[in-house]
Amino acid sequence: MSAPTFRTQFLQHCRTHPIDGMTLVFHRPSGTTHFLDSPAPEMLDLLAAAPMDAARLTSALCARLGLDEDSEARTVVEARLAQLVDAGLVQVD
Amino acid sequence: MHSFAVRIGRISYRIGSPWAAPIAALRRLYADYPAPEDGIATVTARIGPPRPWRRWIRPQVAIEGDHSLPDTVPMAYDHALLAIEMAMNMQVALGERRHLLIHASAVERNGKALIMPGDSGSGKSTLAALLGERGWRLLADEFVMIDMATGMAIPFPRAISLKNSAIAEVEGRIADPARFGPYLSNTPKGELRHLRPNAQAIARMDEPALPALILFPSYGYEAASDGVSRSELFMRLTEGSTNYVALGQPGFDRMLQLAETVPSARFAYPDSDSGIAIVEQFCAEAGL
Repeated sequence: MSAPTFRTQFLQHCRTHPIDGMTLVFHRPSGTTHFLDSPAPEMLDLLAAAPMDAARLTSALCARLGLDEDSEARTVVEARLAQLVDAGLVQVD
Repeated sequence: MHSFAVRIGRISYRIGSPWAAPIAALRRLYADYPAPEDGIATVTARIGPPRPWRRWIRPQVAIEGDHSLPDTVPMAYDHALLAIEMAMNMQVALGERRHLLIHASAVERNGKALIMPGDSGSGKSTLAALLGERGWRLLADEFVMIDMATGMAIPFPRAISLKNSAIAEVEGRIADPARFGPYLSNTPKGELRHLRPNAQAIARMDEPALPALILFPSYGYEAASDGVSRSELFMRLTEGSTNYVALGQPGFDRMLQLAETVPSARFAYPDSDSGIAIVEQFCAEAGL
C-alpha cells in the first residue's frame, strides 16, 4: 500500500495575515479562523505547491527551514499533518 | 398584547408582552428615546408565559422574539423587566448582521471611542456608567457595534445593567432617581437595577466614534496594568462576539483591522475611583 498523499487548496481557500510571529488564517469554506505557528504555514505552502506524502514533505520542510532531517522531524510533520487534516486545511488522498 | 416601540441607535425595536406592568416599566426606563423612524421597527422582542396558565397562576416569563435559543429557562414574573432586556439583547446577539458585535461597554470623547470588553463582573458597565457622567459620552453597555463598511463604533446606548455592589456605587453618584429602573432582587444575575443613559448619550445616539483604545478591566484586584498583544486582542474580541462567525470573511477583515490598529491593554483595579484614574491615564497616553 502506498503512503497517503496530502494536498491543500490553502491559497485559494484562505485569507492569511501574519500576527505576532504566527499566521492568522480565515478558511472560507468552513468559516473558521485558525492561529498557525511554524512549521504549519510552511507545510501548507509546500503542499499548495505540490501534493506529496509525509516523507517527501518532511524532506522539503527540513530543506526549507535548514534543519536536519531525522525521525523527530518526521514525527512533528505527521502530528501537524493530522491536526491540519482535522482542521480541514489539508486533504488526504 | 401590550407593546412599545423604541429606536436605540440603528436598532428599532417592537417589544410585546401580555402583561401591562413590564411594558410600563420599560416605557419609563426608555423615556426620552425616539420612536422608530417612519414608525417601522425592524426587530421584535417579546416576553410571554411559557404555558398559557403561567400568565395568571404563579406567572412566569419566557424570552421570545425573532430569534430565540432552545432551552431558555423561564424567569419569575417579578423579573419581567430583566427578561425583556434579555429578549432585546438576544435579538441583537443572534440576528445582527450589519455590524460586527463586540461584547463590551464603550464611551466617547472628542470623537474617539474607548472600548472596554469584559465578562460579567469585570466592571465594564460600572466604569462606562461613571465615565458617562464625567466628560465622556456613553456609547454602549453590552454590545459595541462596529460598522462593517467604515470600522466606526456605532452608538447603541441601551439602559445600563447595574449589578450587586455597582448599584449603590452608581446610585451614590447620580442624583436623578428617575433614571433608575426598579430594584430587582434575586435575579439569575444577582441584584440588578437598570440605569437610563443621560440626555447627551440619547441625543447623540446617531454620532459614531472612531475606535481609539481597547482596555480590558478586571474589578476587585490590586491596581496593575499590562499590554495585550495583537494576537490575544484578536482572540479575545472574537471570543466575545456573537456574530463574528456569521459575518464570514468580512467579519474577519473588520476584526483584524481593529486588532491591528487599535492600541490595547488590560488593567486591574480595586475600586471605581482608582479604575477611573487608570482609564484616564491610559487615555491621556493614547490621545483620547
